[in-house]
Amino acid sequence: MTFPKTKGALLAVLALLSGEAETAKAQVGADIESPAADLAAGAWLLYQHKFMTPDGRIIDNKAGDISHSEGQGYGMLMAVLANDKRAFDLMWKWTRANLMIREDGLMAWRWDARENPHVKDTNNASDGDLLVAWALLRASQKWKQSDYSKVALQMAQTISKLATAETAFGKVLMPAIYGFKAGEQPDGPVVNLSYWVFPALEELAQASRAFPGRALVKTGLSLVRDARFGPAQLPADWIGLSASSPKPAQGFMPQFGYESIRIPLYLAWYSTDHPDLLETFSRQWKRSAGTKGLAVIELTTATATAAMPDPGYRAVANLVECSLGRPVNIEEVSNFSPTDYYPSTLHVLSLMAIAERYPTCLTGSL
Amino acid sequence: MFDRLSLKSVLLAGCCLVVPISYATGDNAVTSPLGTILPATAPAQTVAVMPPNMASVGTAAGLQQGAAPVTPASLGQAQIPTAAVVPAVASPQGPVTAVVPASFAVAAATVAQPVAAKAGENPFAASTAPLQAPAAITHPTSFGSTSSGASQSAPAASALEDTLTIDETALRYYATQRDLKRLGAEIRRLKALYPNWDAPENLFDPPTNVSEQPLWEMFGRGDYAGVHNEVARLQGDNPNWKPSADLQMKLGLAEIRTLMQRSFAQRNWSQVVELAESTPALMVCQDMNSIWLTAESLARTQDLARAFELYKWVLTTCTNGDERLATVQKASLILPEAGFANLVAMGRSLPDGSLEFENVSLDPLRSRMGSLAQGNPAAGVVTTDQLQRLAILAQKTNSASDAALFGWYYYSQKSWEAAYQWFSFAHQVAADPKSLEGMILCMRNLDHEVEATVLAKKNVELTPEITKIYIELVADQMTDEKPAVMRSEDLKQFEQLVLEHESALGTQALGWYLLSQKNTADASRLFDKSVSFEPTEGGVVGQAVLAARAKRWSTVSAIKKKYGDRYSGLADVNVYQAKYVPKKVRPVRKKTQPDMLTKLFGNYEKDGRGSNRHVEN
Repeated sequence: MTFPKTKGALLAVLALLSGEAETAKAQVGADIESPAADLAAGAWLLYQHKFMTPDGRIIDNKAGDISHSEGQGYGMLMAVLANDKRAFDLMWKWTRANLMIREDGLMAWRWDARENPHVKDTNNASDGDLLVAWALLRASQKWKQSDYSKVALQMAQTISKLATAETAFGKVLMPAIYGFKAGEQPDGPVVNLSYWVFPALEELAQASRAFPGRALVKTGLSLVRDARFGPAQLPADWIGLSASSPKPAQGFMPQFGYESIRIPLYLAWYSTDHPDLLETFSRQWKRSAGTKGLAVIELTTATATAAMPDPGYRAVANLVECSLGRPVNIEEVSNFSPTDYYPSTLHVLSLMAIAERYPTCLTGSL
Repeated sequence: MFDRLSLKSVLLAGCCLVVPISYATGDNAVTSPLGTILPATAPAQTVAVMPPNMASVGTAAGLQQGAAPVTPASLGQAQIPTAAVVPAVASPQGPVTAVVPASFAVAAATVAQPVAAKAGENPFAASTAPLQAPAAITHPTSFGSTSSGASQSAPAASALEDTLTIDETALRYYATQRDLKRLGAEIRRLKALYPNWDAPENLFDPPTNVSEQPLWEMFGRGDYAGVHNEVARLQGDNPNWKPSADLQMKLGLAEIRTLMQRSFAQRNWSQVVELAESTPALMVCQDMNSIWLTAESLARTQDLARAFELYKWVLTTCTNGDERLATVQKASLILPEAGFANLVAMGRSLPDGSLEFENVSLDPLRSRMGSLAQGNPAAGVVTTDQLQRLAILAQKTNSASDAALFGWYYYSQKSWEAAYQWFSFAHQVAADPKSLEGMILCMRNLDHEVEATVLAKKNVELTPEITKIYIELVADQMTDEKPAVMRSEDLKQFEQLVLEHESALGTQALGWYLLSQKNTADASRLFDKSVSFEPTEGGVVGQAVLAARAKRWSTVSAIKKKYGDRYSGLADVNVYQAKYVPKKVRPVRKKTQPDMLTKLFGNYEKDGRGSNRHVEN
């Protein structure tokens, strides 16, 4: 029993190496030609069919068909990876017209067709801004449109200027311009690690020396390492940084849930250099495998409070396994069938991260 | 007071009164609304702009010499040799027109057109630097979608071509099988072969026997709420079904369009602009009305720069000739003239050598002429150059309305001959009672009463106005010092007419005529009738004179008591020989004139009874 395992680990290292080579190719915006990439592109079409309106708006069906900057960013990112310029331009046009209504070039975070005006709160969401900037940057590389990257870098610069802060733990990404700073939260600054879109921070930093992406990545990684709480040793969705060590933020439920599941997604997409961090999540999910799936974990007691049965969440777990060089249930992860907006989004993103970084993970030919 | 000769001479003077056109048209003004400085080289005696080759009214009368502004083409050659009137000093426009060959004249006008206008330049922009961002003033990025507009039509067309030839069978099969891997691979393959191709949007639409036809019919009727209800009902029955992307998109757009129209009707300009900004799909050539509403709303909120840009965008991008023209016409009502002129200058050259917006560019001039014709001097000035351009165009296009406008304009300037020529031209182009009326009035003012009467009689039942003029003309002749003897048949006809139209004026005039023919009984009857229609001096004095002749002094006293204060003519009816001479109708001109003009513009004061107006002053 141990032998195959060792062999598997060995092969995994090989896979990692080849994966890195693929990554280098992906980052210059070239089309990836692999079954994994084809699958991701096909999944995008189905995703688009279900969640994109004809005018380029990604709808959150679970939240009353509202849209947010994050969803637009995800959709645009997917469209670039699927080489779907028509959809990308539709989404970008809608985003620009409806969300980019702030004077600083960032986006209002939430848009509701039933409200008038559709945008009630003009605060931003830093992850939405990062995602759109990243998608624009990649689009400019893929389709050779420099105006996209111009906007992307402007947005990155504004994020750096308005939505980052220096803390005792390093430079952090604030979740939004308003509402999370020291003084705005009892234990502020309050941060959300799932807003650290690691690959976006890295690529924007590559494109612009002025953008402090690497400093943010550094802080993010150390917080993922240090800000783990309770018996399960998992990060909380929201973390307060007012004390000498990070704590679950007072104004939020101390839980590892729908937000934090994106931490391993971005981490696995970003790099293979942090298997220790990814193991934390893998371990938790294996542990809860008995309860048949992922769940929201209440941190103080490590109790599963709500099941996350959607296959989209499982896809993130599979991506993490790919990253850790372990075989996955290929059929399960390949079978994308849209459910609700959020898990479906995570599913397609996981497929895209796999296609970009771990394409062989889906061929079954380890 | 009742001296007939003096009256007549006054009238004659009125006919011959020469108002220099330069005065009336503001030729001496330094600036025109276009900002052009006019050289003071206008000929001393400017000449009315006339249609060529029109027969003059009074060939016999020596009137033309007196009426300087009148130069029909034929006369122009005879009387005003170009070289003589327009000496070396260059003034190509003005009096020369009638003599210059038509083709040359057109060319000259065409060249002269864009004097101060700079095609497409936004006169409302804060600076000349390229306009940029916020709610971007430059249209296509702010309002227009990049995928719309003429410039994009080529790739769209080739994409369409591709779509026609591309075999999507495999693609659709993989989609129905949800074989995403093969689907993605097939898309990659097709994109490599056809770079402009995009995957069809309905790949995953489930096969369904739901027909969208009733939904489209509902949509066609504008029952958008009904479409929503029906979609909801259908989805209740068929959870897998959803309306086609096409229907969803068109419905969405239609609803926003409706909302925009409603906001516009409610004068909620900012809302209209917001809708346009958030719905670039509406800012396309195919949705011209939405563009017009938006541009007008921008102008209403004083954002003239963006309004201009939007109009300009239409002229740059859209091809439909009627819509382009309507765009410029709308701009003319909304934008200050400088902006309008710059839009006009964007007109294309048409195959016949004319400019696309030549006609509409003259709208501001037309409206000024119209206002001046209505006696509103505040309307601004018109220059001979401008008149010249319109005159050329009116003749080139055989425009009856422009010709009639010229007619009323010159009528207001008391250039009767010029006015007559234009009315006559207008009437030739399109028979029209108004032009006919203008002709009759001009003839009367030119003292060609006989011709005027003949023409009026021929058309007497055409309009109440002509009836009235006709009655006035005949009444005028009847109350002449030595009225021509009229045939009893004509008298009968006239009596029937005045009684039918209850014309106090005509009835009393007929009374005086019969009295001059010693027909006292009928005269008495008609004076009574006239006064019963409306008391006038002519009618009342007539009654008094007859009563005096019959020595019914108490009646005379009663009449004098009742009307003595109003009608000074009664003062002469003291004795049997009282010599009352009914005044002519003619002095009414001053009053008639605004009437006719008001009438031209549609609100003719119904005054068919025609009071005897010899009471004035």
